[in-house]
Amino acid sequence: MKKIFALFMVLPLVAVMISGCEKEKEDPSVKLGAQANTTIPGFYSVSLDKTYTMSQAADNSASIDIFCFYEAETGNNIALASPGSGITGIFTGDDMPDNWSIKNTTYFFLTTLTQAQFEAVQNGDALIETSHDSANARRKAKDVQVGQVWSFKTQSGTYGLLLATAVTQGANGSVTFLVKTK
Amino acid sequence: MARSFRALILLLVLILTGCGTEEPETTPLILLKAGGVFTADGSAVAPGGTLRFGLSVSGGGGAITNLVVRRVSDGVTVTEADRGMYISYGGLDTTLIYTRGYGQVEKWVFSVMNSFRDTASVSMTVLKGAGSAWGEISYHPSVRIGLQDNSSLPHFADLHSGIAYDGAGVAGHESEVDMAAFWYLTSGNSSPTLTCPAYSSALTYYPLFGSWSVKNQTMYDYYTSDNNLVTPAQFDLAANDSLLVNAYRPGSVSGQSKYAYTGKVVPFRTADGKYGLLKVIHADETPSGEMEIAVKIQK
Repeated sequence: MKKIFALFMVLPLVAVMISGCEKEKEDPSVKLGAQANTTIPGFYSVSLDKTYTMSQAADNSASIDIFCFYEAETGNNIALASPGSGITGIFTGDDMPDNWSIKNTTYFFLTTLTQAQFEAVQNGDALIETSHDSANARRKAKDVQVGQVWSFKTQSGTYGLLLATAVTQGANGSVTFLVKTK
Repeated sequence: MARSFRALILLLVLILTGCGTEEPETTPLILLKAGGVFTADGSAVAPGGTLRFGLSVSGGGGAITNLVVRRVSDGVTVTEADRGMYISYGGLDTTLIYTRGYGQVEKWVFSVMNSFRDTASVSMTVLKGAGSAWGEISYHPSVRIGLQDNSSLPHFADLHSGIAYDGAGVAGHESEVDMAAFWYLTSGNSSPTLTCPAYSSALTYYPLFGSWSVKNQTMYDYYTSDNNLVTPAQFDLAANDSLLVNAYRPGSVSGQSKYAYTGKVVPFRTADGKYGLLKVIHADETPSGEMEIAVKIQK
């Protein structure tokens, strides 16, 4: 009886031990696949921090700010753009962005920030906005390279920085990045 | 039973020590903005020319607690600003304006500290340009304000325009007020004293400051005043902002300046970065008295 009582005393303590420690943080990376990638979704909502396949994105076009595509001939390689960028000849089918009724446009600017500097920036920092050079921003982030820090501004006015952490070239390639927003 | 008790103690120790949180590694970030409106690294600016520094600061995981600006002119370091703050969200985006001095080479160093006492710095060099670029000044030969118990004169002075506001008239102009004055005994000494809306003890004499959303901080160079380093005659001769800028010693400034007796000349710098000199034409030494000053300030 004493042993059972002791067990009931100890079990809650063990439970506290197991649950009380801070959990491992989830990987905050965003991974987007290019147009022929059938396993990694290629569309991204900045405000919802959520990725979508093209068919899902077509149903949520108002939320889509960024997509990934690959185009070797023009030197775009793995690139980021948005539904309103006017990219043609990349996506096919009824769900392609050309056919969407709402096509948000996001503007990109390649900053001179380093990876270490990106890591020091906090969500909400004014620096995220001031890093964006609207006069020189473009509707595509061309040929994204690992280590580059791009600033962007979405149609709804959200400013962000993204650090490219992995790039796989090809129509079935992908790009992985971290995002900080203001 | 003793064994169970020991096991329980062991478990308690594990619980208390097993989930220890370490202080996070933080790295604040400070960047100088580029672009036409800002002074560029390596540029040449004539003495008296305007230096405009754009700073973007992130606490890097901690709150921003301190910003220090140092000017190293031909090897001599002067701390131009040392500001305590507590900015826990949004970072700091600010533009600082200074005036190029006479040194051949000026190195400007901007340092930030966060709440974990981690620091970061950035610097730039400004060369000496040809000629001089001392700027125009505004001159207000007579600004009369009342001391704390004076009920007939206005109390709140805009040093830029030379206008003084009374308690009723200042509504809507709070952000323009740079100075007020009061009299008190300090260590047994009579002291007509300059103050500003942001100086905390000014509330003792002017509680109205407490309700203002903008409280300007004017910094007075008490060292130059105390030691009479600028004479009334020099004040009268100043025709551009050279004396205004060079008389101001940022290492000995405060939002309050005691002993502003008749005949004193006090260098100051307003919250928007304008350098100036004020000459005390007359200062009463009673709480119901008045102070009359002449002001020269950068345009």
